[in-house]
Amino acid sequence: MRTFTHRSAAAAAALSLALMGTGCSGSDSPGDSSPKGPVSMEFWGWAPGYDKITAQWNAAHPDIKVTFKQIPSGAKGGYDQMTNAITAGKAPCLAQVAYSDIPSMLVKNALMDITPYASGDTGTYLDWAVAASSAGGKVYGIPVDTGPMALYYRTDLFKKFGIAKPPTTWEEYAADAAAVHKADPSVAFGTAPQDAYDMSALTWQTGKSWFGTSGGSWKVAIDNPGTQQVATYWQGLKDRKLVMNNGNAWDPTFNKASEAGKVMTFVNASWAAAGIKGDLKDLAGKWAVAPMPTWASGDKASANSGGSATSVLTGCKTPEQAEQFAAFLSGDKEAIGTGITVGGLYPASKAGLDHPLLSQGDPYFGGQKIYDVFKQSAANTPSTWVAGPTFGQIEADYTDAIGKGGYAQATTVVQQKTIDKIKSLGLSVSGN
Amino acid sequence: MTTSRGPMATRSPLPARLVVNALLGLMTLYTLVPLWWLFVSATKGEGYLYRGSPLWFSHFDLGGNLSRVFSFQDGAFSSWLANSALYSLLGAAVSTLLSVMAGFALAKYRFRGREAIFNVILASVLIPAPMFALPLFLMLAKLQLTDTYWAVLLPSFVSPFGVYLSRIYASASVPDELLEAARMDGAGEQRAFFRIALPVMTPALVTVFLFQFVSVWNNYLLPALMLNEASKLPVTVGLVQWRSEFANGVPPMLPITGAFVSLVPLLIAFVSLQRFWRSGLTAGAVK
Repeated sequence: MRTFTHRSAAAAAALSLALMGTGCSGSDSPGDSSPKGPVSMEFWGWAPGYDKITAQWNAAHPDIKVTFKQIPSGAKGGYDQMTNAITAGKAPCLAQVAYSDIPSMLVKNALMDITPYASGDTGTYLDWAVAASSAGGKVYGIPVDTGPMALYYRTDLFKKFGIAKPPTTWEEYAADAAAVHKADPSVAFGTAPQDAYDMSALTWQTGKSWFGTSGGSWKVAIDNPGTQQVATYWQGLKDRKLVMNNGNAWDPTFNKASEAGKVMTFVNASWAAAGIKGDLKDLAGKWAVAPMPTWASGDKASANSGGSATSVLTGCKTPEQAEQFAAFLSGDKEAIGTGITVGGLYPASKAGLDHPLLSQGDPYFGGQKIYDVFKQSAANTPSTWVAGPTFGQIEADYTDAIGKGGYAQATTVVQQKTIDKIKSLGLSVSGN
Repeated sequence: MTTSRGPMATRSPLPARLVVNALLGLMTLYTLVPLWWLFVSATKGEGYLYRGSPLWFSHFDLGGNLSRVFSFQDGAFSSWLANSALYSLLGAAVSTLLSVMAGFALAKYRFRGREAIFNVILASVLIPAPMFALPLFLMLAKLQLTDTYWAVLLPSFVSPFGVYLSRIYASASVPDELLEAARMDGAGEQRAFFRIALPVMTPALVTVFLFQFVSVWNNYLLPALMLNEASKLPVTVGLVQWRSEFANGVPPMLPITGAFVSLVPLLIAFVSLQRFWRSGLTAGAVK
């Protein structure tokens, strides 16, 4: 016991020394824009694979040393750690920030304008991802990955219920769901939206946006015709018990139902493939991926859910080098490959979409080249979407409100709560 | 009255015994089934958790799960276990010493306000520990001690229940005559406590230690509030963090196997100290 506490105390001492060390190296760099000599920076993030990509960078750039630190994902405390560290003057230079949270981090003055260093590269990333990491024509992050949406479906169950091909429109989706319910009421065709992530992705597809800005003022439009269309549609399916009322990938209820053959499809982003591949190994060869159903036949509009950028945090003394690292993380071929294989990250870089790893068939999906579907989805994602400054609040309120009432009612409630919240931040805001 | 009859006569009638045993059996099952589920699940191979019966083995791969738990994120799990051990061992040791000293003083010394102090301590036993977490956080934040080892250790040093138990035990098992004799032989108060009273109070000591060890080991809310830095987290907070990051690359088997591993030290502590704490719990029940 004694040796034990002693060792831990030593570890604590080593840790505080390490912290002091980084604090010093941050502050003793000269104030001019391009310090000469070795530079060291910290990078905080949570995406799997970032540690390995950082190691790849360090091997190739001995003069700019980046130390990666694993933190809880943004909504689970990661953003609080960043803003606390900025207040305490101990912030890292680089941090992972999800597109949906860039505006809220901007409101907290946590992000640095990196336009002078990044403006030359913005054309190499997907347009909407660049838009999502910018504000007022200034760049606040380099897009790393995106989450193009698709329909995951069970080929064996489709055969069993005599459905020839995956639905291409939401109308077909509802018709298939009704047919399956008629044949066997214990089988659900899909899963119902559960939270703001689901609702925002489904609304994104309609081409409508939850937010807008005009003249420095926020416009909240969560309760828009697109959201209402989505709400009415899914409420109908849910009321007729055609879809399960739970999440999909990683959700124990969903996984259990999948093993039992009681759920046939779900709509989610590219990264959800890792969930079913990891949790449902013996269903290999039974899942396939198809484009997300659309609202009109011939329409190709898809949507996005999730994805993040790398931002430079306020107080960074070496923003130019930080931007170089961020560009490496997003654009280097080897880094993109590590992101795909280790993290299941679908690149936001246009060149990355043609990465050799993305043209291979996936044995889990019966050899299907699933990334062809995601590539098409990413290309057809509308660039009309604008994220608001309070995504954390929207997420909490939507999940809560969907649990209490229907989707339509939840949308009305969240619209008002969001306006109130933005007002309470002291920002100018109007409803639709 | 009953002593004159045989032991058989003191037994309750058969139906009553059956009902009681059946109820106890149900309670045992209710307590053990989740543990059994945890053990069985921890042995299932990655990707097969939802396959087959949740209460029986399939795709056995406990070894693989263990090695993944300990190697994930550069061995974060081992450092959480070490932190938990530090918090619980040191917290329980100090709180046991403080509790036994306080309990002894409350039982054996007469001073003004003794009952008032004891009643305040007793009252704080009745308030659930989580209620203290937020005030403690605010206090330690004022002292700039949050996100340090002290933020978890200092609150763990205090155990009102330990004081209560020690007082009951001391008044029941340390005779005044024994202390008088020690004083007559020239022992000071310190010596009388450490050499005479403490050995007699060993069962209470072990019980207080064990209770505090378990409550610190299992504490989630307090460390979750106090700590940010991943390297200082105890295993409870670490596992909950993993549990919330499935979509960010944490395999779902990790928190399950990790939860099972984190129970092992508790099992060892209970089994090895069982002899002592049984007699500790019943102390004061007869007098």
